[in-house]
Order: sequence, then C-alpha cells, then structure tokens
Amino acid sequence: MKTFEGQSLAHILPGQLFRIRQLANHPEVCTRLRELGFCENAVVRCITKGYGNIICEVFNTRFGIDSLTASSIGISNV
Amino acid sequence: MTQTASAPRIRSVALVGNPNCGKTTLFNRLTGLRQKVGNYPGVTVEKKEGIIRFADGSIAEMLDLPGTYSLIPHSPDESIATDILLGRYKNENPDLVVCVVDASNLERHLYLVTQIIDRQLPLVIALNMVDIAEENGVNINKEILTKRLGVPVVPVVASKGIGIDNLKRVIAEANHPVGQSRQWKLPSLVDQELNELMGLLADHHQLSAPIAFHESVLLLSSGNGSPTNGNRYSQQVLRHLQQDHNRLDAAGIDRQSVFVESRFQLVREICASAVEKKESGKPTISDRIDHFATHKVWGFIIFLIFMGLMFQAMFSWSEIPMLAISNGFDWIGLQVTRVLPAGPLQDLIVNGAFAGVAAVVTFLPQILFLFFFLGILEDTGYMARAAFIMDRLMGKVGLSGKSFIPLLSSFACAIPGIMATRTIDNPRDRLVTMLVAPLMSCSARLPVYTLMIAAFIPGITLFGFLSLAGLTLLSMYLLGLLAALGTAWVFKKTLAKGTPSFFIMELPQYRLPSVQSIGRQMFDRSWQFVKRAGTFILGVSIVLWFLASYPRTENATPAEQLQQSFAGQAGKIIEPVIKPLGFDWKIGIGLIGSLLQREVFVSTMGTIYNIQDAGDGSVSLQQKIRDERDPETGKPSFTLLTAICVMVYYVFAMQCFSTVAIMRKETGGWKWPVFQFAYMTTLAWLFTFGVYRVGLLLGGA
Repeated sequence: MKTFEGQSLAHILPGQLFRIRQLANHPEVCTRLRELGFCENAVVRCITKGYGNIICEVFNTRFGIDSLTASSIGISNV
Repeated sequence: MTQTASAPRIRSVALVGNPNCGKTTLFNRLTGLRQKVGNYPGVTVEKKEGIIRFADGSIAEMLDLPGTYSLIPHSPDESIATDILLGRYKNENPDLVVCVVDASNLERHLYLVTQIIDRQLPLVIALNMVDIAEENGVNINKEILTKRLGVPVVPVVASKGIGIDNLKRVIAEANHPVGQSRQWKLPSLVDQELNELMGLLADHHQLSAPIAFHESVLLLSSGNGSPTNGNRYSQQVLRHLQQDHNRLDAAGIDRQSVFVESRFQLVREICASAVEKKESGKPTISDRIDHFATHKVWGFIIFLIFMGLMFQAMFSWSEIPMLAISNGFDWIGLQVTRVLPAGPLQDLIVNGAFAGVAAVVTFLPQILFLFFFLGILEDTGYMARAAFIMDRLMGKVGLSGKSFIPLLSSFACAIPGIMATRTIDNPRDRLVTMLVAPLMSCSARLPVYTLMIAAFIPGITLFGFLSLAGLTLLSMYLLGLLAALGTAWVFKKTLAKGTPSFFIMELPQYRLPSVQSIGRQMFDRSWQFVKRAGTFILGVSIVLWFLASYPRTENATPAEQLQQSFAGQAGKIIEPVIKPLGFDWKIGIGLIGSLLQREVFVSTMGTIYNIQDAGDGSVSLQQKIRDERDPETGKPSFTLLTAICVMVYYVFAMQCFSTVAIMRKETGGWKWPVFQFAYMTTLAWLFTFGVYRVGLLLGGA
C-alpha cells in the first residue's frame, strides 16, 4: 500500500480539523475512499486514536480507519 | 413476480441506500415483515422481498437491498444492490426506487442519490431519522431539497413509524419523476470526452443512455491500460478510451477524482441551500463513549468484560429456568408412563422422543441469554467498534477488522456469519473468513458444553462472583476464537497469500438498544431452536430410539440390549478410531448422530442413557453420565478428562450440514466445503488426542 509522504491523516490528533489534499493509494482504494467522503477538499476531524488506528469524522459520518490507509491520505490546515 | 389487487400502477419498488441508514427498519414498516435490523453497517447482505399494500388495496413487490455507498460495487453484497439498480438482475428495472437517506448525514448520503438520479429511474427520497437530525441541530428544508433534486422527498422516522403512511401515498402515485440528470459540472474537456465515449458505447454496444453514461464514467476514471473488464468492449471503444485517457492526462486532470469531486461539489451546493446546521462544538455522547470504548487500553478491557458477563449470564443466570424446564419435562414423562401401559409405545415416547427433545430444549434459556447479549452488541452500535478494536489483532493473522463481525456473528450461528462475509471486499480475506467462521462456538455447541460442564465441573465460585463453570464455558469460546485466528494465519500464509485489505468502516452513532428489536430477535431465534427440537431432533430421536432398541435380544439387561442394538454396533465399529481420544462406543453413537447438527449429541445421549437405564426419569442426564461405569473395569466411563475432550472435539469439528450447504452456495462449488469439513474434522481429532494424552500424563484418568 502506498503512503503519502507529507502530512497525513495518520498524524492528526484528537479534536483537530484538517482538509484532505491528496490521496496516494491504489486506484480502487482511492475511489472507495472518495466515495466514502474522503475526497480532496473534504474537511476531516479526528475523534480518537487507538490501537494505531484512528476514528475520524468526515461529512458528519464517523469512520474507523487503519493507520496504513490513514497514512495514504494527505492533509493540510483548514 | 408482480401481483396487483386492482389497477396496477407501481409493481416493483427497490429500497436502496447507504449501509446502516435504516432501510430494513423502513422495509419492515412498509411490508409488515420482521427482517433483522441492527445498528452497524452490513446487517442486510442479500435482497429481501416483501409486499407493500397501499390504501386503495393495490399491492406492489418491495425489494430491500443491501446497503451500498455507490453504484461501483466493492464487495459481493454491494454487487447485489448495484446489479438491480443497473438493470442486470433478470434484465429488469424496478418501477420505482426509494432511496433511504439519513437526514443526520445528508451530505454523505446524497452522493449515492446523484448516481441514482443519473441512472434515470423513477425515484422517491425517504429522508429518514429526521428526529435525530433535529436533535443534532440539523434543519433540512424539504421544499428546497425536492426542488434541487427534482424528485419527491418524504421525511420519515422509520424506527417510530412516523411518516410511513405519507411515504406509502407518495409511492402509490403514478408518474414519478426521474430527477434531473447530470446536474454536477465537469471540466469542459472531461465533459466532451464523456459525451463522445457515451455515444460510442451506445452505438457499439446498444446501451441505453443512462447505462452508457454509467459505464463511460467508470471507463474514464479507470487506471491506464485496458480496463479489467476490457473484453466486454469493442476494439474501437478501447482505442478511443486510450486516446481519452491520454488527452485528459496531458491536460493534468485527475481522472479518478474528478467525477467524485464534481458530484460532491453539487452535493455541497445542495446542502448549502437546503440545510441549516447549528454547530454546538461540544463533544457528542458518541464522542465521549468512543473515548473509552475505543481506547487502546480501556477498549479491550471493556470488550473482555462484556464477553465475560455474557458467558457468566449464560451459565449462572440460566440455571433456574433450565431446571424448571427439565422438571417440567420429567413431570410430563411421568404422566405419560401413568397413562400408557408399559411396552414399545411407551418406551418410544418416553425414552425415544421425550428424552431426546427434553435434553435439547432444556438449554433454551442459555440460547435466550446469548441472543440478548448479541442483540445489545448489534443494536447499540458497539459491534462496529469491536471490529475497530480487533483490527490490529486481525491484522496479525493477515485479515482486517472487517472479518471480525462475521466471526462474532458466528457465535450465534455460522450460517449468518458466513453470509456476513459478503461485506468483505478482498476475495482472499473473504474465503479465509468463511473457512474459519465455523470454528467460532455457535449456539448449537452450547448444549454440548453445558451438559459436560454441568456433569463434571465443580460448582466453585472464584473471587466471589466468577463461577468456574462460567469460566470453563468462556474458555471453550476463547479456544474456538484462537483456533479460528490460528487457522486463518496458516491459510493466509498458504492457501490465500496476500496482504490484508485496508480497513475502513463506518461507525454508527451509539443509541439505546431497542427492547422490541432485541426481544424480537430473541423470540425468533429461540423459536427456531424449539422448532428444530420439535421437528429434526424429534425425528432423529425416534430413529435413534429404534436403532438403539432393535434388534431385540431375549433376557438381556438394558445395557446389554443397547450394546447389541444397531446403534451399539455402529458405535463399536467407529470405536477404534475414537478410542485414542478417550471416547467409548456410546460417545461414538453421539458423534455419528450429531454429524448433521451438533446439538443432536445431547439428544442422542439423552435417548441412549434413558434406554440403558430403562427410563429412570428421576435421575438427570448429567447424573447418569457421571454414574456410568465400565462393566469390565468398574471404573467411571466418563471422567472430567473425557468431558473436556468431548468439548474440545466439538470446538473444532464441523458437524453441521447446514454450514456445508451455505459454504457450497457462497463459494459456488463443493471444493471448499469438502476441504473445510476435512480440515476441521482432522483438527478435532488431533487436538482432542493431544488434550487426552496430556491429560493422562497429568493423571486425568
């Protein structure tokens, strides 16, 4: 699985808001992520982190996401 | 497929929507059926059919489809929904699509709506959970939403039955609009290429405009080179597609994101005009619960406490109702012996039918407790959190957290567990999960474990509240879980090599469990259990009584008669195979009898011990097993070690024909079910042999 080299969703801390900038993963995974709401320009909020994975909220929906996939989602400040 | 009582208007209605948006709850309200509902994504994995009745007496067929996030399927359950929406199922389109949208998550759910509108099917939006949206400070202007989407929008609260009549009235109306297609704006170059490709597909493959549009979007957003389903298209289409890719790539357009982003841009515009939201900024109840429930330390502890409580309840709290049922059956048996004269008929009813059925039905309270706790897991929204917590552990064996929900569901029964694997997108992960799911201890194993524990595990309480019996039961379930994980690891290293799929799962808002929903599930599952006892197990018990009572031997004691019966002879034939496990020929009869269903082991034991003791109903089956002596050595036939070995054998052994049948259906052949049966039986023998030998070394005999 590819990972994003810059600041990624895996680095986000609980309570922080960021904007998704780029997805760096296999095309099918990127398509699914975008369809779930993890598309470029969407705002994402971290709820909590546990077991290396993270729980975040995008478009008002909460997702549990593994750390490797989270590290393929590039983010920037809102 | 379709029936009408009066003038036909709408004949078939498809209910679609994102996972966990309340489709099945609405389906149950509209059709009066009682399909299973739960608060986690992936409860519905196959289409369900029902009949909706309108106020004027007309009816229509209603399909409840598995949830899908988009019309591009990523897993087998999503394919079911998309095939129907794309007209691939029986080459028919539904007359009307009702898209269920969660009002509290409107922005995300409207993405699918834009795809269905582009599909140009008559559409009605059921805006569900408007009460929760209002509680969250979300106010949706229905009129603006209707105008922007171009289709009727009906607010409902499916869980409370609010707005259902209005929705039925709107569904019954004729000439539903199809909505305004392609309101979303693409960059002009993409738009141009899209239109050209659509034209080519329509000409070369005789596709309707909406289907040509759908396929064009898929093709343009696919990776470079031939698409995976490229052999479906003509060479001219493929050549044109390659040129399209080149032009769009040269223009610096991200083909994979442009379509999704454009749709979401439209969704944002619609929501900006139709939705008012008051941000409280305060953490929600779900935020606070998740802080602990998914915490790296507390999360696992909370999960273990819940499971421990479940097994404690299943064993200790069910003791009194179990005793009451057992006494009730004994009393009825006694009445029958008083009414009927002694002879074969009385023997058949008391020792055959009654003993077998009673031995199984006694465990009904435990089944009820199991489904009560599983219902709480499913209804509160904790199920998806359990998958999240377990993702790391599942990753160690090569699977993802998505596999944990099917495994947890298999505690109830492997059949829904295997079907729940349809939500797993990675085919290798799905196969491995299906192969190991029956290792999770299902409710049919419960009577076997309980019988052995009640007979041989001392009634000791640890730390003042933990019974040793409950802990033993928990260990059997843990052994099944560890066996499933260990086997999955081996399979992922050998049969189904590959990295685990990514884990991303929607986590629903927590909610209080619905007494009605859990009560209904408990009733339905226990009724199934009782029905099985009254039909299959009753039948097997009668057949077994015959096999254990004939041929008749003159002047033989009941024990000698049993030994020389057909069943006794069959038990003797397999005895050499099971002797190394510490099992005698009577357990052999139980193993053969329970090949089709595990709980038949208990009814078989009930029948043969009753025959052997000439129907002495004053002594429980546990007591009879405990008192059993080897006629040659005079030593107990059944010991604590034998009981442990029986439990270990049942942890691993397949012994369930229905699971074999569902594996055949889900894998499309006999290869994997036969493999599964073989590997589980082999593991059962090897592990039981190991436990027996170690037990003997420790002086367990």
